Amino acid sequence: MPWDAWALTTLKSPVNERFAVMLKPNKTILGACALLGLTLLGLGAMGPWQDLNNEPLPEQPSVALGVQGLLFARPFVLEKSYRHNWRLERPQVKSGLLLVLEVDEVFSVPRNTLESVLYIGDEVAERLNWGTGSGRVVAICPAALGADGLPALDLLSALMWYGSPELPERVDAARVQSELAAASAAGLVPLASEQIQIAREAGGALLQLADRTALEREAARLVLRFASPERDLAEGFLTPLVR
Amino acid sequence: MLLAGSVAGAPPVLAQVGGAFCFGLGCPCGNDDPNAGCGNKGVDFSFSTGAELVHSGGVPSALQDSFEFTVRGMSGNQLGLVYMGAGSSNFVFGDGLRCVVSAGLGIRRFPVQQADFVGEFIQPGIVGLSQGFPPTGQIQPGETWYFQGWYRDPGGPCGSSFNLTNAVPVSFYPGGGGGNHSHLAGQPLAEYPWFDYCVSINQGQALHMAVDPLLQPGLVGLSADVYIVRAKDSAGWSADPTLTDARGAPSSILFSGADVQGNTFQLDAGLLSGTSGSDLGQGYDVVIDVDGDGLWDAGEPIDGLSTEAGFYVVRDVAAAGPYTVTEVAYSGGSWLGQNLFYPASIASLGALPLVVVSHGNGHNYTWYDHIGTHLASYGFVVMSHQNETAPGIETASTTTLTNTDYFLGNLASIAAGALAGHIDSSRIAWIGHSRGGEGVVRAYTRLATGHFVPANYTQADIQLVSSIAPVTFLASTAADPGSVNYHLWVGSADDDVNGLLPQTHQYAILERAQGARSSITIQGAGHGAFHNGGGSLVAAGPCLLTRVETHQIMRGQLLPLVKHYLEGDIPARDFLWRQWEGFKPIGAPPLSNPCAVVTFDYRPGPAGISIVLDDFNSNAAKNVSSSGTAVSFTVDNLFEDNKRDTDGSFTWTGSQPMNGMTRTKGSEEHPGLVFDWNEPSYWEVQLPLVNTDVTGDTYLSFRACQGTRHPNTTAALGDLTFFVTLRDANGVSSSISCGLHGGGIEEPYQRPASNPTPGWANEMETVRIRLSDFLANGSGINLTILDSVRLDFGGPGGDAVGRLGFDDFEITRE
Repeated sequence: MPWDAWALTTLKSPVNERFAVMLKPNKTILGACALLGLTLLGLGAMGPWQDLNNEPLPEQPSVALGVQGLLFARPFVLEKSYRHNWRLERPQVKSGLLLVLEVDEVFSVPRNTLESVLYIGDEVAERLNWGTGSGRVVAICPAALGADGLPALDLLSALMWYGSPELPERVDAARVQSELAAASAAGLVPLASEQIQIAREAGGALLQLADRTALEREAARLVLRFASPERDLAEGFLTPLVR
Repeated sequence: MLLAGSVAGAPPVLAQVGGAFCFGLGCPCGNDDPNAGCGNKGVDFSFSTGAELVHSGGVPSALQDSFEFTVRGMSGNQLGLVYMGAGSSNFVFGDGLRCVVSAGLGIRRFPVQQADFVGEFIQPGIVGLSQGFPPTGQIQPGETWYFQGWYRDPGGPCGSSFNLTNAVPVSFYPGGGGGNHSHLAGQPLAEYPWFDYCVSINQGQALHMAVDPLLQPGLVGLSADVYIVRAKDSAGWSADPTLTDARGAPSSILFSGADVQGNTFQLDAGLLSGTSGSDLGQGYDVVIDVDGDGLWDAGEPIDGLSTEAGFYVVRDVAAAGPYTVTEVAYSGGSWLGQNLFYPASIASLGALPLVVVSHGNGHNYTWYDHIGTHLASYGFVVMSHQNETAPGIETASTTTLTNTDYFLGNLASIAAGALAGHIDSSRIAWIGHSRGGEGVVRAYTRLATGHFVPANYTQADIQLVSSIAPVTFLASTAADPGSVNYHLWVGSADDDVNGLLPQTHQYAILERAQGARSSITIQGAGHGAFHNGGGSLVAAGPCLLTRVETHQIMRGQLLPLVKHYLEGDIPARDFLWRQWEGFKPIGAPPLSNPCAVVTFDYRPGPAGISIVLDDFNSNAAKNVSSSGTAVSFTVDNLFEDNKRDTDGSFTWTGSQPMNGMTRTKGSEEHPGLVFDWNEPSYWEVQLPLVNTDVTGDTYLSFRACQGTRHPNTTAALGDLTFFVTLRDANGVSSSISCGLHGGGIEEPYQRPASNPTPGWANEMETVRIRLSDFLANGSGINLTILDSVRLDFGGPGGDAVGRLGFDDFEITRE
């Protein structure tokens, strides 16, 4: 039975038939549903079933999978440090890179069970968003300042990949190293230097900010720019500050 | 008017402790105390406070000797006594007022007692001691006696050196066996016990009353006016016994039926209002005015002579409340984004409770308007905050802790200071979704263990923790609700936190809770249905609920939840446990919607549990309960084991008795019971010998679920019923169907099994049957000597085959 017909039928089904049909929607059906919903909306006949939007959770890969591209890379430095909550050691961070990555859509669906962890080089990157609807993830990658006064993260040599599912706050240095070894063994390689160069040019010069709050707001603006379907999340970081 | 068949001055009685009366008003030397007897020297040396007589234990049964009084407020170490008489009065006597007189049966004095150093003594053995009085003073079933305390008070205000307490009328059980018969209002049932003396009814629903002529023989053949009166407590009734009917006029009723069914009467067609300010319901008392004088007289039957009304008419709790809501979004800095909801008129509302919402991973703090707007419209302040869930549960718990602290510490700045002075920080509820659902429990644990010390609140201020579809990553000791009131929401169609892995055994936190605990399981609800951010429902299974439907249910259940635990609201409690088929929020999806199937698991706090018959936590032998009593059975394949599915398949293989149970993880032990039947059979547990009198208790309670995918479950898909039988020491028994309030043990949600979704899971729900219901229509069972509780399966009126899981057989009181 088509999904929309099922939905309409459900409203009239007797109790003993409520498990008679199993729902397995796909995008085509959902599109048809949306069309039907809009049609009924136009007629002023909104049914409670109209938001039956349901996508099954995609299965996460069991092996390391590299990011697909880098669109933006900007170094930052803060006047006041913060704790990096995305690894067990909780190191203090005063500098790093703001990045915009292109990722496989399998990682774009948030879940509350374990998610694949994003690694850059030998660090766990902080994802600000998931890339839902855009495939673009804004990430903050901590990196200490080098001798040149810039964050010492060499994007030309660093692997960028999603490792095995885990809670990032439980990932320690040893786990990072084992994930890095697995990624290398899987044949992952750094992104092309041309792509790195374009991303650096898109990012621009060193960003000097006061603190973590300012960094979050900068990252949120990147979400608005590169991953607009996650506008709610970005705007959540950009609400007016209480004075 | 004098009513046919009644005798003026000798009203028929229901067993009950009446409202205290004869307080200290008009005392001999201006030593008035409106809350006790006349003012005395006492231990506080204040002539404006007197001593009081209170019922401090036992039930008014003339067949047992449990009833006791306490006199308190005397001078320390002074002598006093309790006395009783058949009549009431009010005249000056010593430094106080004499409230009890002979009325032809004599004044009977209980032994002289010496108060302790704080001026208090207990008088136990009221019934037993009375048997030593002359025959006219021996307390008998069906009699009403008035009690008062007399005591020495040297140095008292008026110079008489003695004084008296207030007085209390007590009507002793008229029938044999005892039980709580003070209830009158409720709704009829289609089967034995034929009437549900419920606490709450929905606005628009007809209200009935019932009298069991075999338990209340004094009413048989009488005609009387029955009043529905705006609720008053006992002091209110003493101060003003005037009967003013909320319907405009009382009902004239002739109690001529031979049984409960024959004495069930409709009192209201559904016109009574349940809307009063921001309250959930309006309380009413029911009074049988036997002598027709338009006054409630001590001894006349009354339902509601306490702080709890006789019944409550409840508004549509899923509909918006009376207050216009203001919403403000702001940020206090990193991970301190907050979305705030509060009544626009908060300036005139005093200090309001606070509800904090902690979202789940991939969710947003602006996606809980359905919670914020609804609760704020009833006078709550709701703050939904940015929750750092992506790193894990520890960070999520941190943002719950810090956002609560930030909010309470910055009320002068937030929303231009509109909330300053209007938050009651001692009444806080935390509600978390998914990772945030475990996060709020972790946050509570961190408060309890001192690992986080907020500046603006304490652990004791957290009155309720509620988890929506929580993950269970942490060890039990790291996410422990302890003794806080804990509540859980589960969507049976959840395709994320689905019960497959131990980290998704969403019922595990509930099992850990040691305080009051409750859960709601909503079939067809997906993980994403609980927020309003749009996008996927993250659901798997048939008959999915939309967000609109899910939120109708959420609004209707969440409001009573916070009303009950943050405001002590009484009618709200019914929403936490009564069968959905029998009582649900008016605005929730109708029963005609086959997809809206909801079940509840409820256990009061430790103070509400009188006897634990068997919780399976000890004595693993099948023939011994955890309370050490004998267990017998004829059901098949009985196992006691940890309530945990160990292979995640949720498929019946025959080798895993606890198939489909998702209630523990790791090394946690929360055992339960499972068995099945194919022919008439039973399971029975005996009461502890020291705990056979349940007349002071309210419910027999247990929880049960169908065994997912067991052949006996799939053989007869549908709600499953059996009979619950009580038997006393004389061998007299009484049985009630577990499905008497509609439904039975719910048919499991048949989620398809497809990777990674594991298919069906077991959904436990609580069944509570009022103990006094077993007395209906002269069953003859004696609840003072209850011997055993038996479950009868496969007989007439029950399902022929089935597979069930059980836990927590308890006797509870409210």
